[in-house]
Amino acid sequence: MNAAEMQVFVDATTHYFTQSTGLEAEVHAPYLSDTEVPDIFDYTGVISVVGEFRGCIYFSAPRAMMRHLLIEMGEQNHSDDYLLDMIGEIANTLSGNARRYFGPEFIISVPVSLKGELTDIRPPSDLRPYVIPVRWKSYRSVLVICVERG
Amino acid sequence: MFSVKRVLGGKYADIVLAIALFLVFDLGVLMINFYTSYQISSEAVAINLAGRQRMLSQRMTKDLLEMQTAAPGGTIYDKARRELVATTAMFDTTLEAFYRGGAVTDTNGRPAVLTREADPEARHLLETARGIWLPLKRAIGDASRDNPAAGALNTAAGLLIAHNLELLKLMNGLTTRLAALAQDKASHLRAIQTGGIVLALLNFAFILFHFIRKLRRSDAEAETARRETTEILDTVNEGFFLLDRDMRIGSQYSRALSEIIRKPLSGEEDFIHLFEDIADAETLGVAREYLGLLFEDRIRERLTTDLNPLERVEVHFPREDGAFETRYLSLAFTRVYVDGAISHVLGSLSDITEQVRLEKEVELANKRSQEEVELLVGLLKGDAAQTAEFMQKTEQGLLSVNALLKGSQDTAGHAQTVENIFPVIHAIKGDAFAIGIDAFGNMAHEVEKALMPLRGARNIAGTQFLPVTVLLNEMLARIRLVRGLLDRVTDIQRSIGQPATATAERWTRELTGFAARVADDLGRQVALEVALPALDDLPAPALQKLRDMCIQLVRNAVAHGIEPPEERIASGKPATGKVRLKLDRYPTGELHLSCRDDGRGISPARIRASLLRSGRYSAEQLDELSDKQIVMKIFESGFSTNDAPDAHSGHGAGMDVIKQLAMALGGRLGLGTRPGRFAEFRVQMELETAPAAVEPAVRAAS
Repeated sequence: MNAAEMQVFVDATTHYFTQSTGLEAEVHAPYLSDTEVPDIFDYTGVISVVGEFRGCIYFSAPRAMMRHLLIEMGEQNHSDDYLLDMIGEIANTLSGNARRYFGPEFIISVPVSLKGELTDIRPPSDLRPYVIPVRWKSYRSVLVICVERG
Repeated sequence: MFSVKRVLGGKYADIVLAIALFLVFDLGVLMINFYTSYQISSEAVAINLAGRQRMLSQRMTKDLLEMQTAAPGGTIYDKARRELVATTAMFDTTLEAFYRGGAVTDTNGRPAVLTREADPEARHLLETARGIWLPLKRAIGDASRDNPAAGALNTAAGLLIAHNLELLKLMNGLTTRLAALAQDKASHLRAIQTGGIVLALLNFAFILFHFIRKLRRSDAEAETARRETTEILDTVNEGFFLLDRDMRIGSQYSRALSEIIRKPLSGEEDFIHLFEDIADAETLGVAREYLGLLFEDRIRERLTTDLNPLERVEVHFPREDGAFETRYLSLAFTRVYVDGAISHVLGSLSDITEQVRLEKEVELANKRSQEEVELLVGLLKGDAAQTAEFMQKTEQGLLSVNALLKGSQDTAGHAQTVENIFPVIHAIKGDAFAIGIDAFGNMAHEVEKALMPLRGARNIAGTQFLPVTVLLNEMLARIRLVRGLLDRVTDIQRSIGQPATATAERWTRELTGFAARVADDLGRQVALEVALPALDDLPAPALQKLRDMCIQLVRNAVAHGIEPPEERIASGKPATGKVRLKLDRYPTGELHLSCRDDGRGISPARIRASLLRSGRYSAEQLDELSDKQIVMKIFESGFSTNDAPDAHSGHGAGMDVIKQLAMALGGRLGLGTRPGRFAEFRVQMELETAPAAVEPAVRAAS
């Protein structure tokens, strides 16, 4: 996946923050992960892709950041279910943008929300995942792209 | 050609024949019945007429006797005479009709026809009766005239009285005989009817028995066939099914069909619909179009086979964890013709995932092999050792670039990151072109091009580094490939039996050249002394790691240990620094690698200052650490005492790499130093029995 294609996912993520909270998220320099499943925080929204590209893309954020997001959105309920819904919504935004940009040949799974460690998600072999740090307020979250051309 | 059996209804010919026979028997009995009924009716008329003859003979006697006793010309006489004439005529006509056949009037006054009586006994009675009757008829005729001759009446009466009883007896006998004949015919008819009905019943029983048995056999055969079909359909690994023109699946299909597409089937389902949630829209469109072609008579079947776009269909089954399981399916179709017209299409579906996986592996292996061969040729043409060194250095540089990216936290940091990355990439580019590895030179150039617009720019966004990161990934992947090849080159060299001394000589030459280049780059003067007598019988991967470690140690000694000539002279040392690299095998079997330089040594104070500057530790934290503990910090990733990174130092990766390599070889790291005098790194390894990836024990000594 080239830089322009990855930019689609970065834009979707930052757009979500701007739309939901009116506050912009800052994107730091992307780097390559040296572990199989890099930088996992408390809540992770995952989409898998097949077709022209294969692999997964996920957004992972710490609990504090997710709660702060809920506060900004005026939501009082901070239960796990709500937090998982919200991380799922971010994954859904990634999925929607990908569909619009890549078209029907980019087959995208239903977004999945996970709490804690990712056990089943593995990037394709021979590939270092791209980690794109996304800072919102003082919190650090990551957008991880582990996709290879199919 | 039509056979009798075909004409009679093919396999149902015998049942048609049996039913026809049944009808023939029934019709035969019916016709005989009709005929015999008619006969019995005629016999009844004859019996009645024969009975009437008895009565007529008595009446004629009565009339003659009345005429004898009555006065001629009187009423009684005339009445008796008229009756006698009529009775005589009736008796005579009837008798003649019995004898010769002819028309008569029956007892009800209706005309009837009697056939000539053929029965010998009856005939004998008739002939006897005629013998009596004919003279009597003449006498009666004479007596019944208007003016009969005298005595005619008495003659007739006398004759009649004389023969009356006999005639009565004969007519009675005729009646009895005719009745007996009628009885015989009735009995015969009953026998024929009974026979016919028995035959019809036998035929019916045959039909029942034969056809029920045949039906049962057919049912059993059909059941066996159905069971066998079901067994086949349940056993085969392919999904077999029939499609009609509406693309619907028939009621019979193999179990594998449902298993392959992972959903239950009830038959009569739209075939394309089954794939809607697992295949992409384009595949579905192509499939529908192609299935339509299969039902078009004008297109030859062979052409449809050649056109089949569904021989390899990629499908994706969604998993519960949100990921996909990709499988490859193959669909093949054959037309089914009935009476020359396409009635259905027989489809077969199979899962070819394993086959596709193998094909892809082979394809990938071929591609890699081709790429590797090209690289290999390049490596063999050039200096493999030099290439290995370049790869090692480049990987280290790229990893340091990645570390810079990872640490780039804000806009100001981004600007500094660009400035830090640029020289590293530029050095890689220069090195690559210098030793003729143009592919890496070009890739490094691409990174430079991506960085150029960012140099000196304000407000650099993190995502502007994306092209750099992508290129970084590609270069690292390339290095992995080349390093793998280098290992193989070492293997090949070993397999062709290059003696250890040759390896040692080659290493010595390469390391000496390398030390000279680093020294040149950094403005130092170095004499490298290499003693590697223990390189024999080491496995190729270990040799590679050992070599990388030697390069790192030499680089570290020259870049960090040996001081610039003026500094050395000022401290009373020769301008040329001395580095000694040694590999020995101890009597215990252990390998000892050591690299000693007579440079500035490792200064705990300098490390403390560097750690403090880096912000990793506070002054308080550092105060709590002993000098030994401080010295051990040089093995931490990212640590460097060089504030101005250059191509050979300052990335904070060298010591970490040595530690990683020692770990990979299952070795123990040792370090000895005296500030201002020397530094010596030691690695102890048990290569033949070394377990992989054991955390090395790090020991510091002064």
